[in-house]
Amino acid sequence: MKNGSSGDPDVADPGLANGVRLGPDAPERVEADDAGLQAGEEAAVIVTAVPAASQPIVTEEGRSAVAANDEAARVHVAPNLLDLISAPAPTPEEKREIEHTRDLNDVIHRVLIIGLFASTATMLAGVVLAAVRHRALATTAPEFGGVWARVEALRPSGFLALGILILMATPIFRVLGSFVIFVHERDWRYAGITMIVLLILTASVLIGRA
Amino acid sequence: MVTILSIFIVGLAVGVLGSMLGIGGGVLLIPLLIGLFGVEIKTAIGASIISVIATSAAAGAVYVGRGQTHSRLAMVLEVATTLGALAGGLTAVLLSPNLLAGFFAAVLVYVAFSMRKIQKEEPVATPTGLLDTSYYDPMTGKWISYGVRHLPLGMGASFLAGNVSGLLGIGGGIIKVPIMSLVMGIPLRASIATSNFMIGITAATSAIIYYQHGYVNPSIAIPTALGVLVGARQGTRLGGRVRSNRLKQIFQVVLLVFAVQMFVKSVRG
Repeated sequence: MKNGSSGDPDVADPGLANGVRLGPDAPERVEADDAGLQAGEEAAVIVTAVPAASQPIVTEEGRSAVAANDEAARVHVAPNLLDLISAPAPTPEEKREIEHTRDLNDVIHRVLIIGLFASTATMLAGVVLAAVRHRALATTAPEFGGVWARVEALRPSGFLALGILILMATPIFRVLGSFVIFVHERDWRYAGITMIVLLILTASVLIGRA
Repeated sequence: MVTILSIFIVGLAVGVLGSMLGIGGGVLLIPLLIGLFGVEIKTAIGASIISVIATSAAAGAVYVGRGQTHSRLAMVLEVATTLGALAGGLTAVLLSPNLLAGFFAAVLVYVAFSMRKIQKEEPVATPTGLLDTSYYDPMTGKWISYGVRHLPLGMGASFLAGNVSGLLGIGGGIIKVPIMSLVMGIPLRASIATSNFMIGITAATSAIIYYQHGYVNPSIAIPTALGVLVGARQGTRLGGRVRSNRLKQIFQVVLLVFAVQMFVKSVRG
């Protein structure tokens, strides 16, 4: 890492290209970046696959925000270490397949749990609020645009409608999560397929108006 | 408050059964809401479609964790189901209640009939080179590898399932599961898990339409959805333990019972 601090012009150039002045430990980051690129396609595969579950943004953002954020830059080194540790994996292709399936399922799992928890909590808040104020549950739901104003006014109907909306949004976020994962995997075919599903969902919002 | 509690309990029961069978539970909910609480059919459909989303999410969280869901296949078929649901939802808000009840009966008769074949022809799960995948079967302790057959036919059936889902507020799993398991060569367990994945997205498509047309009544949809959520949680746990054959038999009986019920309903108008 220290050998980079000699101010090699080849190393300095990519740093300046980011439009940010490099600090004293800047060459370390650039070196890590270079190592990732030089390792060729196999390394690139692992760089994109490994951090997907926990830190999907780091490698992508690392390039642009490299000089601005020391933390991001350090994580940038990690994929290379993981590369060494996981070397005996069957083939890069198989490994990628396994990792991706696990990542995709992980994301979907989390989206579902969070969506269910949030919608249930919001609905229950509405029910409790109605009970406390001795009111019957609302029999009509406000329009999409009018929901938040009712929540802010602490009206039970607002919470009830918000809970329903969160529940309705949960599968949509699930699709969105799949889309992000497919894009991250550079699986353009499935990213495209998922985008079509998202467009159809959008269409139901737009043409489904009363 | 009593009504809300009663609706909650009905939702609870439907949630248990629905998630065990891989269906949204709408086939049970709609007749129950109309029969027991005098709910208008489109409002019942609105409550059902919200509950279908809840069932799918609750059961799906468990199935995805088990790795039995074929996510990529689901996304391919989802293009067809969401399109079908969009068309179905837009049509349903315009149709007369009697016609909707009639469709409900017809769909159930077809599904109950097509399900009879399952016991005789158990398709052998084999890789086909198309969307091959595998999952761990806790009953046999083996990894089951399989691929997809007759994808275009599956897409067509998925459109129909989405259409029916949007039109009648059911999950559409009752159409997708037999097609996937009988025609597309997908093991029943994986079919149910994948169908569960899909019905939430399909239901959201038409739920958005029903909501905007005022057919989502919170005082009915919320106790139903909450009941279904709690019930589905238990049902999915039970579903994981029930043998596949037994699951099929329960599935079949439920379909036949409600086909008869819907017939009565459509005759009454």
